[in-house]
Amino acid sequence: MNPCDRWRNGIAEYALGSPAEPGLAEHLAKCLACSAALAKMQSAARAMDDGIRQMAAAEPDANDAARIVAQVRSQAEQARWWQPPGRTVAAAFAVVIFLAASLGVMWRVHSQRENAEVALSMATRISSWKSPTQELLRSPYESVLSGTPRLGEGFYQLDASGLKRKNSAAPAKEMQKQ
Amino acid sequence: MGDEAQSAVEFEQRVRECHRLVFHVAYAVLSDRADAEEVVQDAFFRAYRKLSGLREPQKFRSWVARMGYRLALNRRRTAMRSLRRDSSWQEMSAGAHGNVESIVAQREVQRRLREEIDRLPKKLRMVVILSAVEELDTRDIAGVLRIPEGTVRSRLHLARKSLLKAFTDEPL
Repeated sequence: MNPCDRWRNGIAEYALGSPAEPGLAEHLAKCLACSAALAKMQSAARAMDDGIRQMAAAEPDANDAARIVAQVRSQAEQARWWQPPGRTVAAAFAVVIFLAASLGVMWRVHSQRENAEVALSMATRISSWKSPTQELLRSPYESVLSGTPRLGEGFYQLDASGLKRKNSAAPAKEMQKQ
Repeated sequence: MGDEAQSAVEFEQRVRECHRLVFHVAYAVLSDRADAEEVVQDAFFRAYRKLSGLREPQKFRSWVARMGYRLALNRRRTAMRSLRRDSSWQEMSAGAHGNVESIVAQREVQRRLREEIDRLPKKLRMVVILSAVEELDTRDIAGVLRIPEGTVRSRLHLARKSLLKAFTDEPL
């Protein structure tokens, strides 16, 4: 290993402007190779720093500020024309949603009412419907059977002439009608 | 004067104060005058639209510089226009020396410097590029990159050391 290698990093740091490591000055005083390396690095560092500064050395045109302001205004106007403010868009959107929701609710209520009316009408028709044979099959004792006899009392008494009302007049009238 | 007119006047004043800085930041990233001008325009347009959202108006300068920096990076990334770089900055710097040899030598140094900077890791590269802008000190660069000042210093030192190594490994 070259004994000067241990100073390589210190020389680079020194060339970049850092303080010298302890002992570096003494080494440089007696080592021509390291002194030459330091001179080369310092020259390179100067060229590098000059080059870096030049990277942004271009200047904008003198009228740039006025041009920028004018263009920003023009762009802002265009953007305003093409893109309505966010609040307006949001409000319009809310109105559309509200109208759609209202129409939906109204349609639903209307259709429910219609269905209910149809169902009621059908139920009425079904309940009032009578078959043609219903009258023929009707029992003469319906009114008797729908009543309730008193305790210990019978409704009818059978004799040779047929069925006769014993205690109640109403069933007898029914029978007479029959 | 109405609020709108007042804010327009303020904005114009801010453009006058900061457009040079934003141009330098964009130019340092892009090395192309036309691209840099477009970035400046775009940055100020965005700043104008978002001005009401800026919570600390005194930070407008670093805010718009950062915007310009981000836009320039995006442009550089997508368009790769660095391939056709403007050399006006080279001519400007070389013109001062006045002889053909020094112009050629300086152009060569700057071409190599750009190449070496492009080879640096991104974090180091961006610090070097922003350090080229004379209006930006360490604190400003920290603000633009949103990193601590100490990190800016250490990255800049590392970047310069890497560049120095690259330059001195071959004869200049």
